[in-house]
Amino acid sequence: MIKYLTYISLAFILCSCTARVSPSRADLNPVVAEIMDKPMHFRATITFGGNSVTGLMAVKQRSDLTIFGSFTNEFGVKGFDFIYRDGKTDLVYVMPALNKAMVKKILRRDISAMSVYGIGNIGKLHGNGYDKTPQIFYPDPQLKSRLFKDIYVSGNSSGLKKIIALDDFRYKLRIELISLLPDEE
Amino acid sequence: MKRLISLYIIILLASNHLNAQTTSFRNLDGNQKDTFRNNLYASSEKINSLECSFIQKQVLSMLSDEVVSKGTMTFKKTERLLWTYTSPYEFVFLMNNGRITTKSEGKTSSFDSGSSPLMKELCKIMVAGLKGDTKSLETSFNTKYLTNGSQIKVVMTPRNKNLGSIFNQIDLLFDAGTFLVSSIEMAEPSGDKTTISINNVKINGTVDDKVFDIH
Repeated sequence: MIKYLTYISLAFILCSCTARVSPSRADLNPVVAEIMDKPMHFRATITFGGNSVTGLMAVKQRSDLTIFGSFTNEFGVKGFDFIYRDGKTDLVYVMPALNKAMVKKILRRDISAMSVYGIGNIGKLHGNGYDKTPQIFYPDPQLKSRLFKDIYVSGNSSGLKKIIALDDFRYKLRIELISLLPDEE
Repeated sequence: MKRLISLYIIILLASNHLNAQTTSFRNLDGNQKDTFRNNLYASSEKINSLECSFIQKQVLSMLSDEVVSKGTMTFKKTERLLWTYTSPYEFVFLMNNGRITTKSEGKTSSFDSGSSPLMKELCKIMVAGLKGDTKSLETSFNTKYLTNGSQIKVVMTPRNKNLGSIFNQIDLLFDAGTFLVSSIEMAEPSGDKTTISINNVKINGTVDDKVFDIH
């Protein structure tokens, strides 16, 4: 009996000491205080190969931790609407030029990574200085199992502006979000 | 009894108010429509240059959010349009003889307008809207003309599927006396709506060609 109890205790201790293998459900749905009450606006640049598209990205989080986002060009024409939840992104609307299976697959993957590791970590950027070295938000060295391969998510600040960048090396795609200051909005 | 009369007056006022809202614009048809259309076209033909400021309000339906942008527009014959956003950040868009040039954060990029049908169409709508040349849009849109006396609203619905997948409807609002555009409203299939209010319009002022040199 004592032998069994010792084994069970040992098993518990070992489990509690094991490094995190994969992100938990809670990790995948971060609480982002900055976008809870009202949407946050970013100047967005999406670079794909040699071409760039600029526009405005608005993101907001609902009380159930779902993140909603919209990307439009400067003239107000919608690029896409997304809903992020539990590590997955649903593209609610995609403009006809982007409405292709491959493009949507890449967008879903990159927006998921950007939502959980980029927007999810925006609170770590104080935005009151000039960070020469960006903080790497993903890949997280604590996580052995990676949800997204060939993706790096980083953040830094420039003055009061918060900058989040996602680099998808597999598809040579980069998404950069620069927060707009209240007086700009 | 007094209460009943008060209630009757309130209901009467409320119904009048609602009625006024729904009937503020009535259809222009037949001769009225042709006369306005022709006058608008004649007026647009006289425009060699146009400068204005604008306020763009974009309603993001999914986020229940509104984004406000501000800037200026400069048009010069033939088909040169400079669209400058000053807020929330600086962004310059130029359409010049079939080439589109954008400038953002000091970076300039230029490409043939044919490679971006959406931007080409948007420019066509903006130029036609600013000038009041609604006739040139009739190949791409079905148009309906309405008036409330002081203003004329041109309601345009896309004729082709491609354009219809980007815009549900575009409304151009003109001053019935001066034939100058006061707002351009674009409704998208996603439920979003963008309204560009045009202010401080200056017609046929001297516009230096250098304005259109973007590097």
